[in-house]
Amino acid sequence: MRLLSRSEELVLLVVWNLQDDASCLPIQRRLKEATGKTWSLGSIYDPLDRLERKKLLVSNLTEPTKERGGRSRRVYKLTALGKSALHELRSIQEGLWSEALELETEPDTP
Amino acid sequence: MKNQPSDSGRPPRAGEWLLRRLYQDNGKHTHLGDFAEIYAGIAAEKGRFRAAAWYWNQIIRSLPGFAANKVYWSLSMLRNYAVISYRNAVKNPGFSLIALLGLAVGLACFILILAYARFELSYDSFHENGGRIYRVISAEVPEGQEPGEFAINNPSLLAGSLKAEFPEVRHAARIFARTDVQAVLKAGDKVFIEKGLYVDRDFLQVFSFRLLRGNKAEALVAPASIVLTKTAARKLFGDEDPLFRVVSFREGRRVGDVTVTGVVEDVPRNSHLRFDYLLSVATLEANKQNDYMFDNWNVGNFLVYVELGAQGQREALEKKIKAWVEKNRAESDAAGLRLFLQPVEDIHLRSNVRGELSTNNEIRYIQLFLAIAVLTLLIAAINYMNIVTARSSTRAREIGIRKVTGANRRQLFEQFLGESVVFAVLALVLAMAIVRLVLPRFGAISGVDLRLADLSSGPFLWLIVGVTFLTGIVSGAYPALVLSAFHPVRVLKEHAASGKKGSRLRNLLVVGQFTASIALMACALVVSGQLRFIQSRRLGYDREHVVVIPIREPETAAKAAAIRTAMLRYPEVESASRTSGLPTSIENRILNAGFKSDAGETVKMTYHFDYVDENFLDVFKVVLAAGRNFSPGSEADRNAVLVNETLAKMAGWADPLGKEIPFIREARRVIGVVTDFNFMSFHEPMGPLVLIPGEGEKLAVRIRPGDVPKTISLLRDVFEGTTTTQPFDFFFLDDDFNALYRKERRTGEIFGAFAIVAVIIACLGLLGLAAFSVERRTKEIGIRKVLGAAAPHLAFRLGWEFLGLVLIANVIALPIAYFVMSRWLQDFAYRIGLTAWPFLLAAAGALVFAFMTVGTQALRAASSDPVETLRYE
Repeated sequence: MRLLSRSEELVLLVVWNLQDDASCLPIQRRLKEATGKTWSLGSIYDPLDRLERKKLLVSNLTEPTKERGGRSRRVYKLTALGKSALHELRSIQEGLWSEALELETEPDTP
Repeated sequence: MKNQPSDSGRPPRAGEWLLRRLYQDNGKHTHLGDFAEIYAGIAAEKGRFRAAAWYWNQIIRSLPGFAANKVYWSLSMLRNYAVISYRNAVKNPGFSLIALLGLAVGLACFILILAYARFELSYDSFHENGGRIYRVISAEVPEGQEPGEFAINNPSLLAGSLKAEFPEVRHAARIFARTDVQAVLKAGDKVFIEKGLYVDRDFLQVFSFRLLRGNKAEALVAPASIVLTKTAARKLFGDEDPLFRVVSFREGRRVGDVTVTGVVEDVPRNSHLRFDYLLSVATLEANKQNDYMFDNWNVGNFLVYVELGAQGQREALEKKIKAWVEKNRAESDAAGLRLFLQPVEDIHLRSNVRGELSTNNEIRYIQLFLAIAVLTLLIAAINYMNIVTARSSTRAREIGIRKVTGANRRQLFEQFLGESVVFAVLALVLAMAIVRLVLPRFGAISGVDLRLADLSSGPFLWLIVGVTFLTGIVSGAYPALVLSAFHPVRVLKEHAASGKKGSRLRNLLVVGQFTASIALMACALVVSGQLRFIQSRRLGYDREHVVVIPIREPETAAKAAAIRTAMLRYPEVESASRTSGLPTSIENRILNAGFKSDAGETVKMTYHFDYVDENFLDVFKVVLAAGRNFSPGSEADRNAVLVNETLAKMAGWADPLGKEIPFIREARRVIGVVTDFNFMSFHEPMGPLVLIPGEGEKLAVRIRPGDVPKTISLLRDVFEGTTTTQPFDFFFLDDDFNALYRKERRTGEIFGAFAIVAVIIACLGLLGLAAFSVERRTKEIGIRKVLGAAAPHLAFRLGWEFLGLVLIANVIALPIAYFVMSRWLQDFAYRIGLTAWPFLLAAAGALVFAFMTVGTQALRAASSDPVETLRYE
């Protein structure tokens, strides 16, 4: 399994979290909530593209909606490969965390 | 989300359109939808204005990136196109050169003709009141007929009457001008011979010749006032102020000191009125001897120009004048005479007038030339088309590869179109070099002094560049269409795409090219035949070996008899005559009169007259048909005249001798009849003529053939040995005669030159096609040779393919040329019959040219060694 970049990991995870609602704008909103930063659309399109090329995601077009000016939106879904990638990611991280010393937050210096 | 009107969620249309252009999305991300959604969100929260601001901000921030991307890729493709084009051109330098040369020559022709036409069309357009200035011309119009031939000379009284009778006429200006008269101007020790006009006081107000010094309203009022052009003033006075200086003026009998009252800018090249000086008409009026010119309705000596108060009054005024003329008929004495107003801007190109001041042209000729220019360019464009499509097979693989690697048809189309446009621009550069080279020669032929600066300035240059682009597009569109349509798999798999595809259209184009050039050639031959005919026709007089020396001063006139006698002493001089009229210039003097015919009726006619002495018949070898010549010094002959046969016939006289001829003041008596000699241009039939005894302002000398320059210097020695004041100058009658047909000669020569150019370009194209066909068929030829075909047979086979096309072109072109030329010839009162010869010659010429171009190629191929051609593979 090839390793994913940080943004790919986050986007992949957010797509899983959002389930049926995983289109660009909800993804952007969710990433902002999680990271506190505004992700530009470009920085989301790019990992989405790469994940799709790696077959971790598939996308579909929905029926056009009025609030999008009569345009359809593209909704992403994890593939089996995507799900296993998330699993793997999680186990790698948990494995690493379990070996790590307890992380203490530094006290604020006056 | 607040409840908004349904459309409030839509982003700005222009922005959306721009975004769609910038993104090459292919429906992948539905970016537009995402942006629309964000926009709608912001609009709902902060209002539409903020949302729009955000939207545009996004677009503007992304623009530089897009632009850079776009430019980068376009540039690399452009570089690739350029490299490939260059390699293709260099790989086959012959074909590229043929196409380039053809296009360049075609463009050069086009530029020259366009410049020429522009100049001719610009005649007299510089007058500020141009739209309101008219020349008064007259014509005899029998009831219910169209006016045929116009005359421009009018009685002096007409100008005053027009101004007095018709309030529309703001100014009426008379001009007294004789084309053949020059004056000697002297200031101090400077002496120059200049041409000029006697003009009315409002001349400078009617016409926009810019006055540099002096007063516009008063400069030409007083007798003995002269206005000089800048150049004439500089010649006479150098850098000194010419104003109110005195110039001694001598022109024939008219002599005196005149005062410079003004200086005008030099006459623009595109003016039909040409002069070095202007004298006031009052100068003529002041001399009592000239009264007959001014107090008489029968003597038409003046050009009359009127300036109307407003535009668009012409037709109404013409009607009023017609009624007025009819009312006062008794005075004017010519039945059916009508006056017309001719717009000053029409004089150069749309005038059918006798005795014009400067060589005119005709709008038809200009149109004809423009048509030829377009035709030549088209022929060159077709060349390019043919060569490129014929050679398409050599580029088939390139096109295949491009298509396979993702080029779409539009890109390929643009590539080839761009190539041809660049090619056309290169051709333009070459064309400008050609124009520069031939400009002086063209100027000499066309009589129009064009300058390179005129050609490369402002709107004209843009026009040329535009035409060049258009040529590139027209000639490139068809090849681009053909080439971009190639099927990639087929062209890559097969050995080579056959250039045969579309060869039918190519053949059609070749036929078109040759049709045009053969027609041009046939027309040019007919035109030159007609011109030769005119110049070799029996004139009724002998125009060769006659030297004309103008007598410009009374001092010279006083000694003219002595000069003549002194000249006759030399054996080189056969005879000499003091005359006013030359057979080439008589037609300017006309008079209306009524004659009593044998049947007792009154015959009205307008006859031509001039003053000659008793030697006129000898010098010009005019034959006396009946009666006798004037006897020298005879008092009895003071009232005698000679008439020509046409006059006798028109007057209805069986025996003209002793009949009365009404003249200006008194009747004169016919003592002899001369055989008709051609004193008018060949456009017109023979007119009636009266020769009146008198001492003219010219000395016409018939010299014996031989060493002409030596004889001339003899004449000069005699002249200068007798008179000291007037500089010696002369002209040959022959040249004067040729000047009468300058327009035809120019038309003929330009025509001929362009016909040849057209044929050359067409042959260039044929050469390209033939060479290509041969190149493609080297293998076929090799095999044929191996199997025993003889070289001549092969050459014939190859040649026939193209000669057949030329034959077809002949069949189409000749009837067209015949039709056009029979129309053209109708203009001449004396013309050649249309025989088959010029047409056969044109046809044969085209065939020979084509045969030579194709033949060389065919022969080269046919004589090639089959071992060489078949060795590969």
